[in-house]
Amino acid sequence: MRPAGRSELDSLYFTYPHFDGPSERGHLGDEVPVAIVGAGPVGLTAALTLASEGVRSVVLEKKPTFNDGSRAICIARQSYYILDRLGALTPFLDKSLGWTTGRTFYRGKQILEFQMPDSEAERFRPMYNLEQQYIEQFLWEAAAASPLIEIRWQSAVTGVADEEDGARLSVSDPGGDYAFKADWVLAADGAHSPVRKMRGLRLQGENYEGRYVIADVRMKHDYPTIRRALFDPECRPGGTVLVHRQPDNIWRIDYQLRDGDSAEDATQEAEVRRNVEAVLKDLGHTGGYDLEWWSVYSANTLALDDYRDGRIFFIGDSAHIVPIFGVRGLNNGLADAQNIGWKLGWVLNGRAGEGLLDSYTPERRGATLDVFANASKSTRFMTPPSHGWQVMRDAALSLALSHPYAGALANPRQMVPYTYADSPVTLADDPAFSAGPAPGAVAADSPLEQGHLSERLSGFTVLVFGDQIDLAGLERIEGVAVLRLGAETDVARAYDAEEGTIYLIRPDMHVAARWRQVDPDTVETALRQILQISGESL
Amino acid sequence: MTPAEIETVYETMAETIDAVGAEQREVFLAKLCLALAHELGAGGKVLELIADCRKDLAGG
Repeated sequence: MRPAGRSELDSLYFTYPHFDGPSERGHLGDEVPVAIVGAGPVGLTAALTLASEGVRSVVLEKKPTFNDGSRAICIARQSYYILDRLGALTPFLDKSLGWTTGRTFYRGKQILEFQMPDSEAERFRPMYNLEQQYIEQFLWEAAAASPLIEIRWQSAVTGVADEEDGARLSVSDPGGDYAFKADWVLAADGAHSPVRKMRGLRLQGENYEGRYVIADVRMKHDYPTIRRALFDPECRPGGTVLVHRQPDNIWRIDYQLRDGDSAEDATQEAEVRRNVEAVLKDLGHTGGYDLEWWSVYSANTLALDDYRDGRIFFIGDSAHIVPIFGVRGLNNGLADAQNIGWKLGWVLNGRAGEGLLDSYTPERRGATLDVFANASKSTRFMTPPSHGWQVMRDAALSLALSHPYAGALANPRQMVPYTYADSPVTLADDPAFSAGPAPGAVAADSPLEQGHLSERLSGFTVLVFGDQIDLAGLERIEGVAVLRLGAETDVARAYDAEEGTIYLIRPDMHVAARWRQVDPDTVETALRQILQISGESL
Repeated sequence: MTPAEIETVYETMAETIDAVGAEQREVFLAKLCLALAHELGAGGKVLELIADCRKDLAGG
């Protein structure tokens, strides 16, 4: 919502483009390999991932422009690797604000300063703040430059019917109604997903009581890019406030509503201003401010039981709703998009069997359940659900004022990329290893020569240490790249590797398998198993 | 701990529970438990004591 007199797209810092619906209509009914419903960050990431595999897609978006406000603002390190793979990284690095530190205050006094894992050797910072409109704009710019992506704006999907080897989508736009067949559909149409409703599917899980208002203000405020969490501050006795810096002098104020506060009252402009001004006073901000935009959300943990329904895959918020504190809504959505994107790309290119797609739900739903476990702890601290939790939370905060060890209880759970340990396409670990990234984990991005290992990965990478083992057979497989590294390098040490050690690294940087010592035939058999293909077609 | 020392703890606790007032009593006791648990340094023992102290409460 925006202040009186300003329309939903009348931003203080962002100029929304306006996109017309399709004007050339001759091809609209043509069959496409992949239809993506929703041109938000998740849908566009899926389209770009497919394009990077050479696969064409049509993106259907009911709105004529980007999201009407900045919802998700925190982009995690692993998402920057996704953007890098898509060739979309540069504008993000130029515009966003990287950060490493968080500070927690109780009754105005700092009780904890935490650092997320970071060092000079890391290619990216642990977290970056950037308004969602820019996230969408930068992804759109990359998508618009791709001949493999067609975005149809103002195009609402009104029906999704099963068809042999695909789905038939009914679409309504200002120029008329039409239908077309897609071999596969990716539903990236958000928390209120019309596709999910049309398929009669429901999210399962818990609705928490805690509700928060997020408000963006523009102000000249001298404070570094450090996340501040205020517990029981003067401005909201008993409540919790979060403060984030964003580019363009925009600040995110996030405050908890009291039990019994109605969302309708709380989102009245005068009420938002009153609350924001109280927070700014607590922060010691004396200059003026402009109210940019606000919204209200709940801390729910909801997910689909299965992220796949026939030829339709649900990605992002259509598949799962997570509390905001873990900053996993957007980031997990991007990981969903990359996960199904490369798998579908490989299947459509004939490089992998359809069985590979069965790994999408266990891997990505597993990541959601992991978020739920962490977020439930954060949520219980931010919004104690009962008297007992409230008493212990207050006791911990009070103790932390004089004893720093208690401040650790207020530490938001560090979100690290989920390990696909139980995935059907993650092979068992070789017990000969004593360190390094295990199968299912994200590959460590060690410094390599003047850059990082991640810059040398492409497709399915066979990472081989030393020069003894002959991998000529593997090098002939389409999409598979062999990367040879010295057995005495920093990378070798980070991977617990010796002469002859091999890692298989997937296009999404997760380790699929590894062997300390192995023969090439075993590696080839493992690749077949991971890609779910029979021997003849490899 | 000598009987005299535990008696001093007993008396100080009684006085402090009265002094902090009804509203902060529970938070005070919970805070003290966290501090004592930290001093004790043995999580398993603390969990045993939590279960142990739950027994034989009046009316419970």
